[in-house]
Amino acid sequence: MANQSPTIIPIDNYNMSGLSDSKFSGGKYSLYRICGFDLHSCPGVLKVAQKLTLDSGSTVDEFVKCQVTSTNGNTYHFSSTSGKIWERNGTTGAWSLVYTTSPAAGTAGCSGAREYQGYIYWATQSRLHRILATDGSGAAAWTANAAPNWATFTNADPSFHPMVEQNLILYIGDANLLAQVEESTFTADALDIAEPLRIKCLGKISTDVLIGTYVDDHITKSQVFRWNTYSVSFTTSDEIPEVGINCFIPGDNVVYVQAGIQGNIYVYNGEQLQLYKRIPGEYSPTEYGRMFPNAAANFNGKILMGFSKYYVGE
Amino acid sequence: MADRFWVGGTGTWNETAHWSTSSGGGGGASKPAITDDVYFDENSFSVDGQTVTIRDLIVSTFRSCKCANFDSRDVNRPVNFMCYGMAGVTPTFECHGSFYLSDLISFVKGPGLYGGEFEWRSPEGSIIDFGNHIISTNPESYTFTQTYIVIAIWPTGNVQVTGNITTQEMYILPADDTTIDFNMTLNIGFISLRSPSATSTNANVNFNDSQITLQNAWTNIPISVFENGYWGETEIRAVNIDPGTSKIYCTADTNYISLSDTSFNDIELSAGKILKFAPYGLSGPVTTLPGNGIIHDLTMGAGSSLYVGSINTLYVTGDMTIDGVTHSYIRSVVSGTRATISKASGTVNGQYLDIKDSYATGGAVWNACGAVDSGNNRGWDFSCITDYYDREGEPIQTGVYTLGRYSNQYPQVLDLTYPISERNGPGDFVLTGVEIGSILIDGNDVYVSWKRNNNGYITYGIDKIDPDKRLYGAYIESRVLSGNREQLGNFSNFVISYAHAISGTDVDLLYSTDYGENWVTTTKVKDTDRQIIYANQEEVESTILQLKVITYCTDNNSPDIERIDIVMR
Repeated sequence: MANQSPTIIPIDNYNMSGLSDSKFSGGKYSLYRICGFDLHSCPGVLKVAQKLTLDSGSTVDEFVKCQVTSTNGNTYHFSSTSGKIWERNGTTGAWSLVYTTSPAAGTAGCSGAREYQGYIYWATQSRLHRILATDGSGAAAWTANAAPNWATFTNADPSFHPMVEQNLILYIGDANLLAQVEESTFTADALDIAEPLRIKCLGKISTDVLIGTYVDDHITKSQVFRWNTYSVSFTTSDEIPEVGINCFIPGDNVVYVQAGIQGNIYVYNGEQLQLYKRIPGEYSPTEYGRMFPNAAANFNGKILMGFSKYYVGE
Repeated sequence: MADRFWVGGTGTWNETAHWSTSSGGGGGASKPAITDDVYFDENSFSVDGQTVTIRDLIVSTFRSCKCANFDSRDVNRPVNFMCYGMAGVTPTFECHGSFYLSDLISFVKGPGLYGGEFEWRSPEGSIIDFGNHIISTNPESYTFTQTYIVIAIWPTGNVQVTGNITTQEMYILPADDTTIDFNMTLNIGFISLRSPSATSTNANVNFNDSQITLQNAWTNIPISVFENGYWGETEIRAVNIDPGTSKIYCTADTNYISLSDTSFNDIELSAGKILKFAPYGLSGPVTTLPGNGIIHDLTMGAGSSLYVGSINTLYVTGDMTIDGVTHSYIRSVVSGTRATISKASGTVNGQYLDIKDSYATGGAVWNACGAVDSGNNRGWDFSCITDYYDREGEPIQTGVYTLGRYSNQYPQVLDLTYPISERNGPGDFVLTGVEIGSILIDGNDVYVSWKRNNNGYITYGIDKIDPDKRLYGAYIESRVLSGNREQLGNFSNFVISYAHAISGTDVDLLYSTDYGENWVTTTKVKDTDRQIIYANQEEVESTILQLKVITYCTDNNSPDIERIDIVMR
């Protein structure tokens, strides 16, 4: 009797399917785990990705949820729990604490930051602060030139003041209000949406602003609003049964959304959210995950998404 | 009992020409006795910088300058107190009442060897307010041309002590059945607490919200009589210490804190410094005191060293925190004999420790994953549990995912490209207990902010994609390749075809037949002619098979894998 011919199971074309949906099921070529590989720079070859290396040393000692790259050549990193602001010098790579915000009211943790028309703006619970970027290199310059408490939010949302620039205007979420800075004029209520919705993240599509909302961890109902920035009310809205719109993910001519606590990623078609993918894993009432509003970026055409996992009690 | 007002500017305490019975009045009154109240006020000095010498001019006896209450709050210009006495002939100054020291008075060194001892023998209800003063700089250079001042709080009743001072040496001596209430900021080199009575009863010191910084006290010290950065009892004359919400910052090069069943609130040891729970002794610190210590929060800065007496137990009731980056050390005062640290609950994360002669006990989790075990330890858990598979099922992995493609000719695919920089070990990624706060693109640079909660030990950082290094230990795992329970499959081989396998890089081939519960590393063979790596092993029968490939890089070099073939029979 002849020997049975061997069966070859190939694993290749790594860049054609990526992660499988589970250990048991996935698209052709998909793998259950792919950790630390660069699938795209050379199609057909599995290359190891560059690694993440700690750059901030021991200087950054609190959790940063807002970061800004500035036209002054430096980057700024804002503590989410205190008023600390760290600078990474773009020339030397040195990290330093340049400023500690002491807002006139509300907590000092930063809940939104962006550079707009030459100024670095950052939000704490109740106040909006700013500094002219060209006057803001180093601790002495920040101490001398920062303009704390530059404007006051109406609602003083304790967690979220997302920012986006669209049509030459800086928009800032504040619970159910969308504030704006136009040149140097602050308006606390450029748009309002229904309470108790809170604006958690902001995005852009075409020349419109996208507004992602959240109520609290008990309300499994969230909405995405699209607003043309000049009408008295929003253009469209779509409601989905998720615990919050966590993050708008900037694709190339397409907007993705990470919503809820089960790793769901939606694609936004201009009016509605459609389920697109899921961060793999077994979600349960005690194990869940989500993205922070600023934990996504588009890096040379590829979308980077920082996904955080939690256990109940964490 | 009389009032005595200082007049006439610069002078010496015992000169009657400078004492008046009224503010701004004529001099000539007798110098103050211990029953007289002393005032320095707006009429005492006429020019900035005038100096009062705190010293009795009768050199043969060096008798002290004395008063009942002392009040200098109305001094309206900067002036100096120059103090000096003679070693062994004390005190130089005695206050038998309340004491209020103006911030406009500066202490300057006298010309003698010894700055003198200032004593407060204050009665019940007195307030000793030092204001804001540098009485002696720290550290003081101990030479025969310079002096320092000793402070002794030695009251006869309950008193309060406040202020913000820097000085070198302080003795706290509560009498029986009395309490000294401290609420001050104190930067000091040497602080001693003891009862003046050999058989003390109910002698109390409350530290309330005091902030005490132990500093180097002396440099150039000619005799090793004193230790720098000392806090505690110099003799076994117990006082009852209520630490309140106080905090002791140990910033001297070597700090000593004595234990005599003593309670502390928070103690923070600065980075790179040494803290020994061991007593002061005239011939150098003896090794132990017969008593334990109770600390609320104990924080060790990076690279610090903690020594515990071998017959003491150090109880930590709050948090014990060891800052990271460089190793800190836990040692016994007596090398080779274990010293005990006890904590009832919670977790101590000792990943940055080098531990020797230590017994960790009490019920807390003593996590020493990543720590250096230098021997003779008990109670510390040096094992590391990787968190690839920390839960049954398919754990969600935390990190930076990529959703991308090469061009429009390819589908958009998802993968986990960047685990954060925290590692339990090389290639041993932390994929749980991590939050990614923000991603920032700055030209070609990518910054990722994160927070890690490792069993209650929290660290933070901002990572950057490293252009010069690839990830060591990147891995892929296949889906389940066969699930036919009725027919065994024979896993025969495992062949990796590579485009480049640069010197110094490597690949491991593993398989599992039980859903990844146990991975078997195969013996691999490299065929450089055909540019393949294959497993050299017997066939494996299974109904379930998964494969895993782990890659190892050096700097920017990595193996580039074209395909992996699994050969089944």
